[in-house]
Amino acid sequence: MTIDPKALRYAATHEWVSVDSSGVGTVGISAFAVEELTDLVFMALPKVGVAVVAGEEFGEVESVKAVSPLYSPISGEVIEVHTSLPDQLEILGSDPYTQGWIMKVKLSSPSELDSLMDFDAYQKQCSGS
Amino acid sequence: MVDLVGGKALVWIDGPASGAWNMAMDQAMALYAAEQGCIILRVYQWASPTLSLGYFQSHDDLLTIPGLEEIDCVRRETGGGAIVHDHEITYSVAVPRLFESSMQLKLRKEADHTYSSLNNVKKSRLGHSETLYNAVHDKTVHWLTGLGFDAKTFSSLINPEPRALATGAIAAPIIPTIDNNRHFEGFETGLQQAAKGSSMNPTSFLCFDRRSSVDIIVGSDNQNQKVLGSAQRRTSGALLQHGSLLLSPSVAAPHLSGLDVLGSTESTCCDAKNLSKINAKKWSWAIDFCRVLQDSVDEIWDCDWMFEEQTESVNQLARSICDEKFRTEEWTLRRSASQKSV
Repeated sequence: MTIDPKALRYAATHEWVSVDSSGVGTVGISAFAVEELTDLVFMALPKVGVAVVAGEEFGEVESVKAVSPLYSPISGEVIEVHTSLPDQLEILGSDPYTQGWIMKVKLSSPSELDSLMDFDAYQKQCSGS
Repeated sequence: MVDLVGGKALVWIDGPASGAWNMAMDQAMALYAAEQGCIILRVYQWASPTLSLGYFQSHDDLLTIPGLEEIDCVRRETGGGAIVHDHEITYSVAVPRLFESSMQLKLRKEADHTYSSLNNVKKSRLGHSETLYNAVHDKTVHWLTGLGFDAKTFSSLINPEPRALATGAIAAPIIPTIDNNRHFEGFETGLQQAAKGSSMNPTSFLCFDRRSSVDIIVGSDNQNQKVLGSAQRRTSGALLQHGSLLLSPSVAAPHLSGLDVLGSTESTCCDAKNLSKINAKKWSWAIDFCRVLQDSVDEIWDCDWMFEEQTESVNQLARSICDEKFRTEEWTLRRSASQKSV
């Protein structure tokens, strides 16, 4: 299934989330973030079963000798992790919204989605920041 | 100068300490900078030869290199390759996250500034801060050149045209020959990597065997050595950058020359008589380098510098971080085969 970036919700910290009908959110980082991070060489993922909290760190990436945190846009339990992604980070450059997904989370507070940006608002943030 | 930030900035000059303490103090510094809303610059040394692993490096890899497993080891919070900290001056600078927006403002106002190319200023606070890398490294090149060293950034070595970005592959029109005898067998030098179109060889375990475009190189094209490398860490509250300026080779990595060796025709490597001379010079090097770093930061933010010692609360915070994190095997070995997860 291809994910349309215009249908996603975005955090100010550049993570996106797509929520399905069963209340599971798929999380990744935006094309803008991938471009700004540049030359990703390492990524650390959370473990399945851990609880993530909206606005708090769930993983890390290294680019150009800089380690940066990844922030979860939603709260809930991690039910699946894209374990092969750290070994093929180039996917994030070619397809950040479908093949480049990072984790799937069973949402504990679906109302948090309301505080995230839609595509237009996120585009505005990116062009203005 | 345009005063966009103002306020006091702190300078901490510390004596030799353990690797765990040094890394803990850097982290405490970043937390304190974020809390206080001020820039902090720290210059420090190491009590004994210490290997610091890059954040994502595997501890297992050091076991493959003779000699390194016998010295103290600590894992850094920052990325990049492992560093043998011995006869060097180490610096760190912590910048509150909010200051980065004023960095962009200042750069826009000073259109003819060295670092003013807006192409070099990222639109977001994601990943590395190229501006901070460039400010520190360009000022250091200028300082070392004034001292008579043939210093340059790696990007200018392989591409003398306008600065290449710190990222991405670097076009390498001219590839000088390399003296492979000064490198571990099987490792590629930066120039060899550049010949392959990459600025960085991820297979090199040691940071100073790698080359990225902002790294400072001393020496002629075919006898060059990296003498300054830096790395960064972003947190929710601050950006931390730290780096090492090599003064002399370490017995644990004798193939890596320092400024002492590169600045003279005779080798001082691992010579006990010369080590005392080097150590005697460390403090004056540290003070001079600190001034260079202050100037570097002032290129981006105008600071009212104050030399202070760490408060007891900062020391307490560092002690806590040291004991709970950097001194533990769990932290140091976390990327080894037996502990491969976040």
